[in-house]
Amino acid sequence: MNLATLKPGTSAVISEIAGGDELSSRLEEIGFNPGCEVSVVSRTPFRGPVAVAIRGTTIALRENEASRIKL
Amino acid sequence: MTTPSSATKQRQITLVGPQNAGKTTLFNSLTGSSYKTVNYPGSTVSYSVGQVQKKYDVVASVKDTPGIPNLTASSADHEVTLKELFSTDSQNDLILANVDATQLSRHLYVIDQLKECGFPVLVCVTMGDLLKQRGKEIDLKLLSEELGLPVTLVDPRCPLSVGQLTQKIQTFDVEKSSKVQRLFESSQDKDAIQSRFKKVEAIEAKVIKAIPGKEKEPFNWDRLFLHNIFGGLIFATIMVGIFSSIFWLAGWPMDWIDAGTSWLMDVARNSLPESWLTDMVVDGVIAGIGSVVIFLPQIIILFIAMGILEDSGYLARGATIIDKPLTKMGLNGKSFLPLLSGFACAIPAMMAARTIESRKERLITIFIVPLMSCSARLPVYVLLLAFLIPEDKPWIGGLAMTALYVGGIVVGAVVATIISRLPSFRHRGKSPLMLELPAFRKPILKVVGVSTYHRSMHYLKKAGPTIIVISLGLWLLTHLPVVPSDSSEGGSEYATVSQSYAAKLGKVIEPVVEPMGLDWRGGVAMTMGFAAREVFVASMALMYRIEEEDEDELQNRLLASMRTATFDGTDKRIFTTSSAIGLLFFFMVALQCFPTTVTAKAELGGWKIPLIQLVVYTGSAWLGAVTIVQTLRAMGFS
Ligand SMILES: Nc1nc2c(ncn2[C@@H]2O[C@H](COP(=O)(O)OP(=O)(O)O)[C@@H](O)[C@H]2O)c(=O)[nH]1
Repeated sequence: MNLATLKPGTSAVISEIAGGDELSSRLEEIGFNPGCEVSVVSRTPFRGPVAVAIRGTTIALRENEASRIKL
Repeated sequence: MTTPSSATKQRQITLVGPQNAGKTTLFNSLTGSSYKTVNYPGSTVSYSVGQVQKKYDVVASVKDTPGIPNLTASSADHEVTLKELFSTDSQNDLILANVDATQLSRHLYVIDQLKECGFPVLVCVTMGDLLKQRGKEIDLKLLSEELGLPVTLVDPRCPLSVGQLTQKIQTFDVEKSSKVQRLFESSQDKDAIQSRFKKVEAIEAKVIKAIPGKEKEPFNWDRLFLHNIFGGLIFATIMVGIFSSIFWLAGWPMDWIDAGTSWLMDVARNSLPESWLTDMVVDGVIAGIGSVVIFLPQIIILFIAMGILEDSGYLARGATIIDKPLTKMGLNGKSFLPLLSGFACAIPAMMAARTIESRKERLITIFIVPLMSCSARLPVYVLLLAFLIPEDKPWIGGLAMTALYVGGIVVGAVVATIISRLPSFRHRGKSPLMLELPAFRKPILKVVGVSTYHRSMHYLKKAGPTIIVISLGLWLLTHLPVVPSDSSEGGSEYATVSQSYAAKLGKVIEPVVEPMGLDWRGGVAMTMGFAAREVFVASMALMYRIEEEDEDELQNRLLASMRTATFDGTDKRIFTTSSAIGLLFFFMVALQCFPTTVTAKAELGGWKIPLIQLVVYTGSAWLGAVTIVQTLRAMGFS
């Protein structure tokens, strides 16, 4: 399962950030690390970005980025 | 220990830290909004510098650097900031680093790096009030021990709290041996990132404690504002609200300014001796100033709206909601603010595009910004619509105005879509969207006021001198050479204009504007519009020499003379339904503003794109206008 498929209002723990490229390390840099708890706050219209709560803040990610985050 | 002299020695304080931790607010409180913004040498990355206010009893200059989440560069702009921070000739006696108490682990990351590099850091914990709302508290003493750095709690919005901070700054001692070393940590090294996060996470877990019986999860408003359905509705409502207030609210002050300008012109004319100098002051200078000030109400309303969106935290939500449609056109959610600012003025709008990381997306954003109908186009629209639409049906005017604004957006969307699919662009990746959504807040009047003031002054300083110089220049062009008043036609206004240098210029332009249904006078007015669009209306007034006897407002006088103006030596009307519609289209699309082109050059670092922009927009505006005029005429419209 990944963050892009998580239902709004539910939370889960990150298991890994997929892909060894720049995008995955950017995600790690802003605080998406394995072992962290995340939850989906809401999904914007037309499958736009998802708002994700992590480490006390909320970050908007596109589906593409969110799908990298495995739970 | 502190010596008495340390309070009077000039020190260099640098604010460093992640975004949304209250850095800018702290900077403004320390310097009292008397600061200036400078660019790092050879780049568009800018920072602000100022002096600590006198009342705080610390002699120091303060520098605000762009927010950085860590010290391992991942973007070009980021790299510039880091270079500056580590450069041997930058003097940093004290680094003030803000951290948001509600997201301590994310913000302590950069603090840990700063410490490792050996910077003299004073950690300022902000958002203590928000933490309390969540039923938690922070142990500052423990945090200081864990970090090995001095720590203080500050609410940057509160002068008292900032005062306490400056007392700490006064007694802050820099170890003489502190030597800064750059971190050699790859931004790709996941293990290093994870272990640092583990470390700061552990600190967070220790110092943040739940207040027994108080802990609660407050309602997350993003569930509403970013909701699948309501999110879009709220966004649309806010946008409609902003634009309607620009039109309806600004109407009154604009009428006052218009009346005030006319009054001032009358007073000046009556109290000054009758001479060409008086004419120049009245028709050149006063009318010129009036045509700058008249847009201020709309610009101010737009800037206030933007300030509220920014300070409340909604701006990031707007960018998130609009991200999906924008990516379809090769843009990014972060293009939202630049495009919105474009409705005030393209110049600050292009500068606001700096936050977009991908060069492709930034370039496309800058490219289409001029298609958003800026406030300078408004008076032109108002004049031409007033000409076209019968007075008893004002609602048609409202609809037509909306159509013009929407038309600009649609053309912009089409242009962006085309560019993003050009062979040389198609393969360039889009930058990811990782947008932090700061907590919602009640906007603070003073903050919104200060940002509105700064932005409006920027507009005035940029547009004002150009417009006044152009109006003056135009006045001279239309009055020189002097026609002796005893010659056969002398003295008549029309004679002066038709023998002036402006007429000579107009005859050169005439072949170009003729297919659009204009004569040489309209052509001159349009050409003057290239210095700044708002000059068009004033130029029309000068070119079609309005008789001054009428007591009516400028616009009514101008409308009357537009209705009677004919082509030289014939009784064929110049301004007809077709030529007015053609002109509207021309103004909607044409890039008629040299300052914009100059700004685009500065932002993009080259003339190529700005010149393409100029030629493409102005060329297609002309083609479109000619097509409209000729088609309408063929269909039998006058
Ligand atoms: N509630 C609360 N809001 C704060 C505090 N400090 C700053 N803010 C608000 O946080 C927002 C972001 O601050 P800003 O200075 O723009 O952050 P920057 O991105 O670090 O420059 C502004 O709306 C401030 O008014 C604080 O201690 N408590």
